[in-house]
Amino acid sequence: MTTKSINISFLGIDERSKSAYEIFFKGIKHFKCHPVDDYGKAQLCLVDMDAYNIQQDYAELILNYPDLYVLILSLNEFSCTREQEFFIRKPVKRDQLEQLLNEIYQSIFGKTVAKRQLISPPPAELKTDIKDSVQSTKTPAEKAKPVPNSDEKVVSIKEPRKVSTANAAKLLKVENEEHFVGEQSDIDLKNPAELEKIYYDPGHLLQSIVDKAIMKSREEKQIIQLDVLNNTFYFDYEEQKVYSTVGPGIIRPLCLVHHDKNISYTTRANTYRDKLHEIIQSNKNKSIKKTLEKQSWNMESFMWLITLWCSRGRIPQGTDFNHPIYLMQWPNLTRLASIPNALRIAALLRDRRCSLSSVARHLNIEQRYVFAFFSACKAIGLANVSKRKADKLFVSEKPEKNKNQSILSKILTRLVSFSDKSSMNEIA
Amino acid sequence: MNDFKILFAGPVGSGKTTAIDTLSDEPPVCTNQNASDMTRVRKSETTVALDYGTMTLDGKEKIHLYGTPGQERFDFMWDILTKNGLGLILLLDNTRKDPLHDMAFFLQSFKDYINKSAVAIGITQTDIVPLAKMDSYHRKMKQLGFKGAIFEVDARSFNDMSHIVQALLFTIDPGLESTA
Repeated sequence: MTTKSINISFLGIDERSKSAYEIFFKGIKHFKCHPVDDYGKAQLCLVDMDAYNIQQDYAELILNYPDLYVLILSLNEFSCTREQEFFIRKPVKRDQLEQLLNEIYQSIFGKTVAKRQLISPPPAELKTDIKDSVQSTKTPAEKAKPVPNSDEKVVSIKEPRKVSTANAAKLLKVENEEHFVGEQSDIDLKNPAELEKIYYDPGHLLQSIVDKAIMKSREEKQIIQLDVLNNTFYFDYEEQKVYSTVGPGIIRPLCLVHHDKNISYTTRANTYRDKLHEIIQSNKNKSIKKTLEKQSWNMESFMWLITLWCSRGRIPQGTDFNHPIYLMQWPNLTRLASIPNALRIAALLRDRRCSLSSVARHLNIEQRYVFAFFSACKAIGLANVSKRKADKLFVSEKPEKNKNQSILSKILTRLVSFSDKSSMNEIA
Repeated sequence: MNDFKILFAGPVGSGKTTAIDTLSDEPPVCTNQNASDMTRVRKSETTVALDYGTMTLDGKEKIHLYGTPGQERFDFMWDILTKNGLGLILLLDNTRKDPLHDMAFFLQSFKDYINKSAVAIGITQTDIVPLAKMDSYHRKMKQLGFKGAIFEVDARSFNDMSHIVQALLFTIDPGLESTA
C-alpha cells in the first residue's frame, strides 16, 4: 500500500522558517509532507501565532477553510477551540513536531501506520512533554467515542473540499444554518446526562461583551468603542447603530471563543460619530481583499446575530425548558438573520404560552431551532421564561388545525419554493 | 372551487400595488389613474378601484390578491372585497405624517374581518425617514387589542413579501406545514 502524503501550507511563517520546515519534512520517514501555497489544496496549515496581525488572518483562514487541520505554533499558551486545531509551544522540538504530525496524519487518514513503524518511541519524559504542550479540543467524552473506521475517513477526504468563498452576504444567508442554529440533534430532555448539550454560558462569550457595550452606550448616552483581540466595534445607542472595523468573516469566529482578557471599553463623545464613517471606510480600503463585507448594523440585528453565532442552537444556562415562556411581540424577522421555522415558532408563542420543549413537540421541529430562536429573542429583550407561579400549572395543547389548512399549506409551499429560488436578503 | 383571497390594505403610497406585483404570477391588473386630488402630494398615480393579482398553487387553484383603494373615500369597496378572504396584509408608509393614526384607522375599519381571519402588518419606507419606531407600532397594536406580526418590508422584495404573507398564514394556523 502506498503511503499517503499530507499537503501542508503555512500562515505567518517567513520564507526562511518555511525552508527549515521543508527540510524537516523531507526527513520524516513514515509518511510524506508536501508544502503547498494554496490553502484550498492543503490538509494541514502551520500557523505562527506570534506573527504580526495574525489573529485576523487566522480567523479568515478557519472561516474559509473550516475543514483544514491547523497546527498552531506559539510562545504563549493557546487554547484550542476546534477539533482540527492542535497547539505546540515554541521552541518546537523535532521529535515533538514529528509525533504531532503523525497524530494529525492518523487523524486525517484514520491509520496507525506510523505508530507501528516508529523505530524508537520517544523517551518517557518527552511523552509527558508532548502531552502537556499539545492540546486538542476533544473533550474526554469525545475522545472516548469509537474512532471511525479507516474506510469512512478515506471516503471523507475523497469528497471535494468545501472551499467557502464566504463574504458578508453569504454569511447572512440561512443556507449556512449551522452557523446560526448549530448541528446538535434533539436530546432526551428527561435525561440529565444529556442536558449539558443544550446549554451555553453567554458570560465569557462575545454576546455578553456586546450586551455590556450596548448597556454602557445607553447609560452614558455616548458612543462606546469596544476592542476585542485587536478588532474594534463602535456602539451608538442613540442612533441604534453598530460599526466594526471587521466584517462577519472575522466576527463569527470571535463568537466561538471565550474572552477573558484583551477587551476594553472606551467612551467616545457623540461628536466622534462623524469620524466613524471615515474610520470604517479607511479600514475597508486597507483590506487586501477589498471585500464588501458588512461593517455596520442596526443594533438589534447585530445583537441577534451575535447571539445566534454564540448560542448555536442552545439556550442560556439555567433556562427552564419545561416552564412556559412568553414572547412580547413578533421579532422584526425580515431584518434579522434567518432561523429556520422562526415564523412558526413566533406565531405559536404569540398565540399561546408554551414551554420550549412543547414548542418543538407541537410544531414537530428540531429543538435547536426553538432554542436558537429563544436565545436570540431573549438577547434583544423580547422573550423570557414566565415567572408567574400560575404558569407552572399550565399545560399547553397542540394548536388545532384550521379548516382551510389545505389551501393555507399550498400557499405556504408556493411561497417557500419561490423564496428558495430567489436571492435571500442580507441583514439590515 | 373556493374563491380565496388575501387582501392588501393601507394608505395611499404604502406599496399595495407594488406588493401585489411582487407576489403575483402575472402582471397585476391595476386601476391606477393620475391623482388629481389630495393624494397627488404623495403619489402621482393612485389606485381608484382595486389592484388584482393571482398566485397559482399546486393543483391549479388560485389565490386572489386584492389591493384596496388607498383613498379612504373608497371604503365602500372594502366590505365586498373581504368576502372569502383568508386574511389582511396591512401596509403602512412610515414617512406619512402620522403612521400610527393610519394603523389605528385601518385596523378599526377592518376589525370584524380581522377578528374572523388574521392580520400581518408591513411597514414600508423605513429607510427614508423613520418617523415611528417599530416598538411604537407594536405598542399601538396592543393598545388597540390586535395581535399579529409587524415587519419592516420593502414591497419590491419577494422575500419580504413572502415573509409577511407566511406570518399571516402562521398566525391563522401556527401548526401549518408546507406540502412540499
